[in-house]
Amino acid sequence: MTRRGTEAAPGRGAGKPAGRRAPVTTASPRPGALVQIVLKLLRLVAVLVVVGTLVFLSMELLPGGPAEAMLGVSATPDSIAALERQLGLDQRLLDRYLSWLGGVLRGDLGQSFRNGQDVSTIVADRLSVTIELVVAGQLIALLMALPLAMISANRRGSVLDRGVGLFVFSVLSTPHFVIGVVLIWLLSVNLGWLPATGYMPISAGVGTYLSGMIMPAVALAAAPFAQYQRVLRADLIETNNREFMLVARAKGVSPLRTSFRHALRPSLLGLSTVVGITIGTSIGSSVVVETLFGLPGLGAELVSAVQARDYPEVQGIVLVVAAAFVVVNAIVDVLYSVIDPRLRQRRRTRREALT
Amino acid sequence: MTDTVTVPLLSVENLKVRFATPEGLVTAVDGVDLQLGHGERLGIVGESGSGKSVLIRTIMGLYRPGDASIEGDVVFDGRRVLTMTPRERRRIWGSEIGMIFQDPMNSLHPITPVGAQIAEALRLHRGMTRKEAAERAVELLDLVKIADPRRRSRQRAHELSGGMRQRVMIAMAMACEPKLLLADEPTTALDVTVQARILELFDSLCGEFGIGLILVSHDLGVVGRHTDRVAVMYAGQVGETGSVRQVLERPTMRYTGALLDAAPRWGRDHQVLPTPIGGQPPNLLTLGPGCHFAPRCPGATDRCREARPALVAVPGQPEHRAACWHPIDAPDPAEREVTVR
Repeated sequence: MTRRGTEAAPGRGAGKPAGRRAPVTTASPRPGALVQIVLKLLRLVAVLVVVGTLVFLSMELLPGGPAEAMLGVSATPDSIAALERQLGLDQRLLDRYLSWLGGVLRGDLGQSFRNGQDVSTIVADRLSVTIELVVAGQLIALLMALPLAMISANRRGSVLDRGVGLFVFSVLSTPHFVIGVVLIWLLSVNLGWLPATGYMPISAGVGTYLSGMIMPAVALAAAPFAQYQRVLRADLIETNNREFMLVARAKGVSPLRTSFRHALRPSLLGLSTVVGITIGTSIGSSVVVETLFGLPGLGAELVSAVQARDYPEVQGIVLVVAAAFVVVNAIVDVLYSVIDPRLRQRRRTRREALT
Repeated sequence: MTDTVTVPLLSVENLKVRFATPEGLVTAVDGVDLQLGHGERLGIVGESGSGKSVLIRTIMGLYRPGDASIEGDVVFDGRRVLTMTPRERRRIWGSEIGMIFQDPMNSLHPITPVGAQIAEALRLHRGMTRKEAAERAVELLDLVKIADPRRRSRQRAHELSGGMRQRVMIAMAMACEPKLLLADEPTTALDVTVQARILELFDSLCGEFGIGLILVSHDLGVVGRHTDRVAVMYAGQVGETGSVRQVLERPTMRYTGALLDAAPRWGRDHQVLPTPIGGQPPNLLTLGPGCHFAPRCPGATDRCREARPALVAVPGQPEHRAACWHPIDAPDPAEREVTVR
């Protein structure tokens, strides 16, 4: 039905999507816009089902179970069996999988083994800290990478470019937990400027909030920054060699303005792809960074949940992270056509050729 | 053409441009002298690698100190371009000198709408507001005969045809009504019917606004129909220069003659087949002491291979100068066709 809808709507008006079966009379949506969204949602669901299944099975493969983990050294085979029955772990794997999947599809991520809280509540509580951390890290990475890439590209081969390149490479080859430890050693232990660990919500005052957030954010920003700088520098160099840059110069446009107004935007496609992928891995890196700096985020929670074999929590957190990854990349997809309107056109024509 | 202008718009004196390449120093422009009056149109003709593009880029002052070593003098409107600071150069680029490039497919910004690209120079040099400049850009698109200019000004380069893109480039170069327009093979990338219309546009705009034009081309025919004077370049030097009539009807340097014979032409009642010039354009790294054209010249003698001829006046023709030891004796054009074929 949706497909028939696209065929019947050849107009390129920018109106809101009309009702499902409303005849296409006036402003029709861009052909396929609705279909695109539906397809994206379907893909999201498919990714989540696959990820969920894999997580479910991999938890099963881990040695030890939640009962052993909870009861610790005092565990007896009887007490373990009793607790497993209580948690529903005595049922067959397939039955447990199906009931969990059913719950997820209804929006119920289950309850934590450890304290019986709803997993969705736990995730909701801690998600904001992780989002703040990842966003802050990305902002720092981009704010550093952008000027350094532009300087390097415009002074290609100079001492400055090589110096920046050396710095970027050393950052790239240092793991983020090492950077975190060095930051703590330098800024907290030796200089005493910042607290080593702990999280203060923004309601405690902006200064306090930032003092707790800045080191973890920098540690998380390091590797993405280095990648962004390298990708953007290469794309800028390519753009600088294009003829329209010479035309801009011959128009009398100043070097600063040419690099911001003429070179930057055509060079952003590669960067936005890398940003999309990196945000996903950044959520993964936040596991280590949050643990290191004692931030009550999703990553730190995931670590303790894995240690306790708290299946529902692990599965819930991983699902949320996977969903975030898919959503971020969908946003990047939209961003492409904002950066370069030609892509919108091309996709549209390709779709028209297919129908 | 006969009116004499006291101070020329542009004068180039003994210009030499050298580039350092891994293989050695290449002299792309080797002692060129040129003069251009206000509103005058000069054509520069030559094969690829003859130094045409380097010459006009140097005239504009586009090379940075590290790019090339430049000797000689370029005086534009009483100011010496080569000693200008980057800031002074930027002030004349796009406002007093406009430049049009060869490939309209790649010379427009891929994302910025074309109207805004035209408006940029106006805002920069004329201090117009965004609105005024956008309005003027639409007028300029109309001036270069683009239909529906308001709609087109909001479109991007990829939505326009090659000819339209070059029109946009012309509008961009014309935006601030420059005194000098430098066009680097402006029609080479376009198909023939579009070529003619673009060149007619040059004619009318330069005539209307009194703009001095340097039209660079490898096509002697194009240059002949759309300029007042011609300079033929070979291996970085001017081999022959004069009015279009003088050079095309009475070519004196043998390279000019060969270039004319290499272009297909139609005689009064018989087709004259083109005669290609044998050999390759010279390697600028291994130039001999003699005339650079000697290795490819059928009439070359030992003298040609040993010493370089100077650019001297052709007897009886003021302003027509040629550098050739064995100049072609001014034959009647019709007679020439007979002797060639």
